[in-house]
Amino acid sequence: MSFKRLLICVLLFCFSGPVLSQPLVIEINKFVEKGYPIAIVPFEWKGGDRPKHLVGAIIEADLKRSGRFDTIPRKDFLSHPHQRRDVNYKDWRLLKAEYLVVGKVHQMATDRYKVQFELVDVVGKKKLEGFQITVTGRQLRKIAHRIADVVFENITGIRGAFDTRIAYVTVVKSTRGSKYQLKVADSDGYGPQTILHSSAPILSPSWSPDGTRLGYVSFEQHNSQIYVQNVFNGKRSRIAAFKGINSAPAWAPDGKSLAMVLSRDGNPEIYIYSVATGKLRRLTRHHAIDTEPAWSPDGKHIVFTSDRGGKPQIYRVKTSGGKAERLTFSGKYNARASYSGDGTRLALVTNQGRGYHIGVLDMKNRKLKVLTNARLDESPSFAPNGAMILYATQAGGLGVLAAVSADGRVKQQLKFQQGDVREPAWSPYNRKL
Amino acid sequence: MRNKLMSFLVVLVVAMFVVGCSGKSKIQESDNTEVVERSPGAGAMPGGAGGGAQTQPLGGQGQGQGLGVGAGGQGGSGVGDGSGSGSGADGMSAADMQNLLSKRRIYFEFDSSSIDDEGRAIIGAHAAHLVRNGGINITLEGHADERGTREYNLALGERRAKAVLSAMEALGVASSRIQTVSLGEERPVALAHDEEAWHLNRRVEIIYNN
Repeated sequence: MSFKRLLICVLLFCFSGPVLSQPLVIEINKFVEKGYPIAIVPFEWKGGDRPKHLVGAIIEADLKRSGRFDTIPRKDFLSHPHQRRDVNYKDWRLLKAEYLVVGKVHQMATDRYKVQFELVDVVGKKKLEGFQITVTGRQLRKIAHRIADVVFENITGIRGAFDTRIAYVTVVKSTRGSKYQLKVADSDGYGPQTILHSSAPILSPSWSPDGTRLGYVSFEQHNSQIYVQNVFNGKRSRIAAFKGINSAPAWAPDGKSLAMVLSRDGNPEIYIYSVATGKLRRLTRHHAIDTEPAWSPDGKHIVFTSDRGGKPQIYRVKTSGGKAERLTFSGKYNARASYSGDGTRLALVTNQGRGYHIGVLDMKNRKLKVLTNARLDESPSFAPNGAMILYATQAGGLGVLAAVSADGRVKQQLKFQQGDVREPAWSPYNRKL
Repeated sequence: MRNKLMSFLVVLVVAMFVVGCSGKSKIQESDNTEVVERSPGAGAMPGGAGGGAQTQPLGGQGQGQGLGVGAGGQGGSGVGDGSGSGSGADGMSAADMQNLLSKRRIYFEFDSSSIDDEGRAIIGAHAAHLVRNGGINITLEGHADERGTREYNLALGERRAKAVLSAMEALGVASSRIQTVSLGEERPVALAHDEEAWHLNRRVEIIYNN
């Protein structure tokens, strides 16, 4: 099979029906605490052939995956209401449901669907939320994630992050050489699409704050170089290709600049690159390794990894410049830090003597909490709501993606059908319909 | 140490033989040619670079632009690694193996760029060869093991390559004749997740460009 044909097959695989294009299986490994008991009634369907995206099922999977909800099995349902006024509250109290999601999907035209939903408080016997919207077939999944976001926020008080995307790199090795792909999928792993194929390594994808572009490192010219690519139209530009290392791009929260690492002046230093002018400003000045910059949400600080103290540790510097302050003191290796959306915590890779784990540093009391316990966990990335951290780990000798709740209580593994998966990056909220 | 290295080389020769015959060896990367002369040209893009990279747009937005369109045309890029593994073990006699010049890898300790005695001996031999042969240029390719973060390891690979560069400069090789590049932990030669594999992967490769 030629490479071209193989590629077409891969693409078909990506864009065909829901069964084939679901390469991610999410395994929730542990529930420590009881979640909110909720029942999601399959949505009423009126129209021609059933759409392939089942809104109710998607909402249910999202809420289940968050680890904060206990979804009541459908087989136990005593009735199947589709709007609040048809709800028999006794049926749901018997199942110990505290919340109920009901709704309808009605086909209005060939590719027009009216989606209605209501979130019902079973105990208080009242409607908590609800909306109605008309969308196209391919937007049904997105709307389902939005409904899950609304439900999640209403009940937990935390903004939902289901209607977001993840970027990651896959590697398939063969005797002919390795194939690297930069992919983007929905936050539930659905609908992965390859935005870059390469025979050389791809590293460090970083989302622009508007969710339209990815910065990343590619070794396609043998040396590391930084590219920015529009994920929608595929257009890309190379923004750094100096002598030495060009790596670790990190988008500023205002989208106007990127922090990056260049060793063009002799050793790895943090620079700030202006998107409008292409100008570079050097931020760090030290003979040690300075790398892995990440912006604070207010854009005032950059945290980075440096071994200026002898071992890799996390430091923080004002984006305007000045002296760097060391933030981590526990453990012999702390690296690749990134901020939570509210700026109160850093996710990072830490080695406390028993392997490389994901940790969270509280920026107020500077306490480091270790959340994971495999041998080689890396590349932590907060969900935009700060509730979960996506990271890369190894299982059976292969790279896999996993997620852990920011408090460490819920862990889940995202299983792919083939190859090595690595370098996950959770997108910001902003996502066009 | 020397015995260990010798036995590694023997294992490598066998491994290369297996790669050449069956194409099914577990050792994947093509730059496994420890003591093999690279054919001219191959050295310029060592380690299976020459990466064709093809971008693709993302669908799932608004108007639903045709996603598959253009996909067929994306082919082609498949050319890849291939530089070393097939080239066989010609010229690899026992005499060569004992020759320091035939050793092209300098190994390092974890998170370190210090060069040990064996590394110094190898560097010394190559530096002398370069001083005697003015027309030859080299690339020093720095690598790290898989532990720790990828970006830090990229920096570490560069630090190792530069440590070898400095040592060669000190022995009279003009820095203009030496290029350095870091591939971090991205191009391991050993794919296991243990001390032995990590040791083999923490390396600088000396690659003759011409």
